[in-house]
Amino acid sequence: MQHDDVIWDIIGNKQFCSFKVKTKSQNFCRNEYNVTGLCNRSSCPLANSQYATIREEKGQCFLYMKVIERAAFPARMWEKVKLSKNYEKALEQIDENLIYWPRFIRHKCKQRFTKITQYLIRMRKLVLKRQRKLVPLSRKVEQREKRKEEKALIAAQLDNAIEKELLERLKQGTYGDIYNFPIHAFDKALEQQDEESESEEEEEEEEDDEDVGQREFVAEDEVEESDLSDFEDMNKLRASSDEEEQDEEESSQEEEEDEEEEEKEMEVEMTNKKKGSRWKGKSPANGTVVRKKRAFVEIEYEQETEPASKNRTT
Amino acid sequence: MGDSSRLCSVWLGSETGILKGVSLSRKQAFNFCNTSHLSRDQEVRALCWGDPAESELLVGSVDGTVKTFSTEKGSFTETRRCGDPSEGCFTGLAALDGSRIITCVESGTVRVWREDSSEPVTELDAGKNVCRMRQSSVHRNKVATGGKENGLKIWDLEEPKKPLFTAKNLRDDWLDLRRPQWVRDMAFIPDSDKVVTCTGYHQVHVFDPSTPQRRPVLEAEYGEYPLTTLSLPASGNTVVVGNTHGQIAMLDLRKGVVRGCLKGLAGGVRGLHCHPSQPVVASCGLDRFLRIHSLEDRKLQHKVYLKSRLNCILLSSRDLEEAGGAKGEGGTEEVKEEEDEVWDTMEQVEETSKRKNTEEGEEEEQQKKKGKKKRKKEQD
Amino acid sequence: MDITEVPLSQDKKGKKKKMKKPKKKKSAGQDMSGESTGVEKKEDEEVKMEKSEEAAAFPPTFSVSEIKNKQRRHLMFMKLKQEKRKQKMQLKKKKRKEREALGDKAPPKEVPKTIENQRVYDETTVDPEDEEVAFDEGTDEFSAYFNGLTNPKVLITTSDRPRGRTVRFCEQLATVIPNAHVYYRRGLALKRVIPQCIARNFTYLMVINEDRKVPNGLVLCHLPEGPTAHFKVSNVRLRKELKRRGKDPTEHNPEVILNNFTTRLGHSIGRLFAALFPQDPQFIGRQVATFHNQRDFIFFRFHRYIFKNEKKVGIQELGPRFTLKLRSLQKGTFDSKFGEYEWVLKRHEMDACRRKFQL
Repeated sequence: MQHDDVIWDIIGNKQFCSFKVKTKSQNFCRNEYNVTGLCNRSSCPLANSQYATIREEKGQCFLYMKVIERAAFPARMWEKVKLSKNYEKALEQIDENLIYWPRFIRHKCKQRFTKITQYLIRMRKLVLKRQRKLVPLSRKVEQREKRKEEKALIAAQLDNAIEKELLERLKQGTYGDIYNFPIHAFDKALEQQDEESESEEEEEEEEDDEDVGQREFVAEDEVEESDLSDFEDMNKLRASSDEEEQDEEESSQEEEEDEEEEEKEMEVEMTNKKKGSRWKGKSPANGTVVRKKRAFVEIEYEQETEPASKNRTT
Repeated sequence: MGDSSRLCSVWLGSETGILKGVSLSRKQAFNFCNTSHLSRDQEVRALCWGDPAESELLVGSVDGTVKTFSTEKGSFTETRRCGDPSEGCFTGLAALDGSRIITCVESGTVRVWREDSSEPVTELDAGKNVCRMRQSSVHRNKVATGGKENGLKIWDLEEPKKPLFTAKNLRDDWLDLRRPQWVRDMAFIPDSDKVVTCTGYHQVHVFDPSTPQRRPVLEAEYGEYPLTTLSLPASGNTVVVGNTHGQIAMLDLRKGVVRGCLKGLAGGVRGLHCHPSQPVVASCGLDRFLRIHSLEDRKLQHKVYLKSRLNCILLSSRDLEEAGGAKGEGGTEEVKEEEDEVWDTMEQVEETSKRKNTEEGEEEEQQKKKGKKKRKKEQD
Repeated sequence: MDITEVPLSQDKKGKKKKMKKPKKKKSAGQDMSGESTGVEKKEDEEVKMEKSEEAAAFPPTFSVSEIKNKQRRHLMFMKLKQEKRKQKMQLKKKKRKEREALGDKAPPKEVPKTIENQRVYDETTVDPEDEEVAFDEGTDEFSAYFNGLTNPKVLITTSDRPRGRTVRFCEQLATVIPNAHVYYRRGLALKRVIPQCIARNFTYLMVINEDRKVPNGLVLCHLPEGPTAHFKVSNVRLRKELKRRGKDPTEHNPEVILNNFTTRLGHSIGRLFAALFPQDPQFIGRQVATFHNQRDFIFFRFHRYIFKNEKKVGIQELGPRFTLKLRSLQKGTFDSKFGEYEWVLKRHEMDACRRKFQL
């Protein structure tokens, strides 16, 4: 026996229905035979003896009609009619099949059919459009690569490699006549430079390129002791904490990031710093980096003194 | 050169136009070509045996010539022009019988040439954009063609008017979109009428011309990159396919499931060839390596760096590991010295026993030992 | 640290004082029973410190981890370590003395093992004398550039909606690479962009991919006929973020340094980078762009240099800097779906050995 009102009373507004999804403003229905998706008396597929809906199976639309006489056999309760792929024809088919049905159901079926055809069209469009492929990156591998990269960076000794290559090119004569080093004349020029350099302003001029470069490096020489020690620290940290620094900067720029993440970053930073401090004494690899930097400064120093002495002799 | 060429059991055609021979037993690679005039016009696009005794190789180049290479003499004996280079490169080359050869070009013209005349004996049009033409190993008059938007067609060369079989495209998919067609390679399954094809849309299809069904009787998919080539191993029921990403897989022809993958490749596969009797498959491609995998345990057996991108590959039907017969034995010593560097560049993956430059006798002993070891392994 | 050091000093005292007597006893008593048992028996007796001194020289079968008491174990372990270090130092000293004694005849110092010199030999390493490779390279897609027939012209663009750093990164790249033009992507498909680029004589298309405002990928596509390389980009530092950087670069064509590209694949990648820059560097600009390959990581740096004399050169970084790691090299112009790949990074197959490098 099928009593629509009884069923609605049971599952309706106040009471429980397993297909019902409650939200603040409205109730929805999850039953796949529901024609509108809403939970109300007229579109409830359970509480209506006369009911019809449209369903899509693998791109093909079917009109489902409830035959309430077979309510005792739920598997055979729905009668389905395959709808034509032609939109107009399909609408006619719906009209034909639901000819003596309530206007509401006929209308809602047509609405649903329209919606389905539209989303099928959209799917086709999306398939033909360029698609983005997302590639999963494993965090473990990324971390490993990051570590490897840091180590490779240390092993690369980039500055040395570049300098070596440049000198090699100079030796091979790639630069032709641009550079010729009559040493003494050059040194004299250098000394003059030295005297000038204190008061000089920097300017970007190519006519006397050696000068420009010299000025820049002199500027580096003038770094004070305290700054130097800072640089040393930086060197120690640089290999490992470059990334973190960058991250930090970023996080300071954009404050959307989670606090948790920042904390983690800070932790990493800390460990890095610890590492850095430990390196000071032990690690030979890092020691060389530090020494290298020192040597760098010393070289500059020598250069300033050397010409002077030579000049005296000449 | 003749001695070295007799040793070779694997032949490869490269993009730089060099024909390469590799002898696995001696771990040597040889270049058969005039290094003084290398040119990209010579790029080898097709390779096949000229006669059943495997003493002649036919080499199809991009410039529209087919050269005959004699493995006995170790040199090119004959060059003939087959078609115009403007029609596109060779997509297939086959020997029909002693004096006739079949060629197929990208524009879709399949021609049969006789040795003595410069005009084709028969000519048929297989449609545009043909990617491959293959000959049936049993009925030598039967060829199959296929390409981009050009489904599989099987032809009898005796009746060039109409194909014996034309494949129908797959049904439209569930969104009613047409399935694009792109046959990249095909092979006749021996002992049956069936033909297996692989497509640029990572499908493997089996067609059966003996049934009225013109759509594939079996559809399988592998990976997500275009399959470029396939080969049928000696033991039936499987097919080996390779794709543009350097993945090779064995697919079962009964169920269409992947039986196993062959690893170790770095670049796209251009050529695959299974040994006619042994369970090994040789592959070559854009990563410039020749690799030989065992089909039984799917392990890499040999890996040879050959310096150029390789387009096609051909195995001789004799035992791969076996030295090239008694004839080759005499004059090999000086060859060996010449090719020492080549020797060094080769590497046997399976065993890393230290090779020393020893005399001939010792070397043979070593080989015997190796052979024994292998046999033992197989027993295990 | 304090805990371990205190007993050590005691131990040393013990050594000095009780060196002679107890040792004889102990050796007599324990040689038979095995020292390990002896140690465990007397574990609680804290007075007899000399026992531990012996324990520092355990028989090879004994391991410290067999000791059950944690503090004890810790102590013993520290001692063991100390001992080892001492031995090492002595050995070092001895060696140094020997070297000094031998003077000039001393054997050459051993080269430390690094990943670089332990590298697994790659059979594709290019031999400069090899005719075939030379021919192959001479006729590849870059031959037009290297024969001076084309001048590089680069189009730089980004993934669909670039934000923040990525845009600035593009702009700075454009200052590094001469004749580079930055365009907004505007959601265009690369396959449509490429024909237009070819029509306008661009020789490179450079696409920077970003993820959450961080540039993380680079597609470098050589036009008109490829190849296309895909890199992972990491550690991007823009000019602003560099310390001790120089002034902004000038518009001179920089020199290019390509370091360590040895294998066949490395050569292809090196040529790809080289062809980004015009062939005639303007030495007057004294700028140099470096692609340094180390362990398959390609470090990009941009410097200004100055020769101080024949032996010395000073360099100053101008930025930006970043690191690239090759993901794939594809033949032909960008076509990730149907293109043929010349080389693909296969993580499980290729990363298995850390001494094997691809470039």
